[in-house]
Amino acid sequence: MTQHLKYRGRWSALVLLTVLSGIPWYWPENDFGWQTWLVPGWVWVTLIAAIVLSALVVWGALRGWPDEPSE
Amino acid sequence: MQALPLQTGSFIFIAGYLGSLLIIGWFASRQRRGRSLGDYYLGGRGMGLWVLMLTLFATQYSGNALFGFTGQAYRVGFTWLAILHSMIAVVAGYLLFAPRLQGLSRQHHFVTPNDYIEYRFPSKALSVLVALCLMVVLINYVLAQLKVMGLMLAGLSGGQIDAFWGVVVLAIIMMIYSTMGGMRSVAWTDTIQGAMMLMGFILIAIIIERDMGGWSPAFAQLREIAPAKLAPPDGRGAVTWFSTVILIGIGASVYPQAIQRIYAARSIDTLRQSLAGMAVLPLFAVVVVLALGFVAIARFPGLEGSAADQVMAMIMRDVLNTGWFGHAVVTVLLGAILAALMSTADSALLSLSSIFAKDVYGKYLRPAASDSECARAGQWWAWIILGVLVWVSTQENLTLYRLFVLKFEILLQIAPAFYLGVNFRSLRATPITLGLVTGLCVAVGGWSLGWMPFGLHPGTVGLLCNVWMVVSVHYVCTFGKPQNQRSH
Repeated sequence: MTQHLKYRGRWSALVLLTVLSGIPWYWPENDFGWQTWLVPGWVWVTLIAAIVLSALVVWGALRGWPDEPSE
Repeated sequence: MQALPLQTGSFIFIAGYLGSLLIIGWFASRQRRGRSLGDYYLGGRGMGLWVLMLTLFATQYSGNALFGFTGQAYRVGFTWLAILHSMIAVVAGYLLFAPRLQGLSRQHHFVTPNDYIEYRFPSKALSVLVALCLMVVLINYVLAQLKVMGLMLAGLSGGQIDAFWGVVVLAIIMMIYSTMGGMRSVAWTDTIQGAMMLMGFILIAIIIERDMGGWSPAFAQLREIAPAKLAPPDGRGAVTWFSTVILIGIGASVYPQAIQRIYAARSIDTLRQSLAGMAVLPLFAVVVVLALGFVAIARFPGLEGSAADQVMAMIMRDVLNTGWFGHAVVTVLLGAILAALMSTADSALLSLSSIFAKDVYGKYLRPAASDSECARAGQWWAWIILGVLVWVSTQENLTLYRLFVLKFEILLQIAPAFYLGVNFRSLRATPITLGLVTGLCVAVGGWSLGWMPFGLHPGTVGLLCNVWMVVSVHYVCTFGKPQNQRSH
């Protein structure tokens, strides 16, 4: 596997894991879980996953891939 | 639907906003530095950080973001948070191919998405197929915006403004400024429109707190009247959530108008910084729009089907009755909605015009035509197609979300040509073409039958078949060949 695919592959796997952790597939059905400010727990988990996902993308965008052309 | 009792000040503000678009269009036309297609359709490839970020934002967040997202949040409840992940995933998708594509576009002077396809996969069949798909998607996209414009004008004026003539006036304004300055005027007006939309999102957050009693009481009421909308998704719902992230995250990253903005970036660093900004915006913009939909469930219970798409208009009517501040808020929000609709429609139309000018007219109809003749043909095509679509927009009867999904089912099938083409140099045209045909058959066939196996969208199933076909055919074609003969 070439170097650029290795970097993109690792970063893509992290993105995918974050997306999967933000989907409440592991949450019991019809159970809101704990709540904060009347917002169900699973919604907070989803929102935190969105923040982590956004941070990962910002990091990927600003850092770039080592093999890519830059200015 | 009852009319919004707007006052003269509101109409003056909206008229001033529409007038400013025409002035920007005229100013952009004065900045043109030549007659080349690259200058007209890509603004001379000199888009800076803020213009690029705001034009990408304004293009990506259409009328659907304000009406469709709110309506869908109302219909399905909190599981529509899937759209938040999706809008961030779009930017993740860009990062996998856009910086390299930008470098290639500079070297080889690409103007349309198809220019890259032809450079990377020299196959007439593939390039014709991709051009057709892109045109279908763009037509669908413009149609959706016109449909919302009609709904908004007829709904908010209580039938006082005829939907058809209202859409005609907005369409003519849009066409005048985009014809005058091409990408330059579209991107500059997008900057104004993007800023206006951001202001609209801030006002929505204020409305929720000030006029709708705040989040907490609404959520408490929501738990009483519609607890199912607060519940996490079941197994099938979780699969649909993941499928939505794939469908929109990958599909929206290959919007033809977005790819042309990648070409138009001043540099790769500018592109990367703009994408970083785009990754943060959904955390605010999407969250407040969804919150508005959730709060509306408690405020206006009992709306079914496409009636839920009207919640934004219903909220605006309530806010208008709260005095001068309410009037000011609704006026700016109306401007933001118009901005969202027009910025998306003008970008899609310009892209449609460029594909016709470069990929159809300049290649098949009049191969000897000069750049300015091609651009003129593209402009005529855009006027004609817009005229037809304005008429069609008043005839169709699909809900907004359905129109939104259809274009992704098709776009998703084009994505492997960009994602895999940029990253895997040994890939040839045959696997990509066969994959595209397979994916399109599965996606469009599944969509027309309403087929969603295990909760997956037909487009996502089509993409899986598409990639499976690409990989299989690639290995069959290269089986037994030494490594050096596989390289592009």
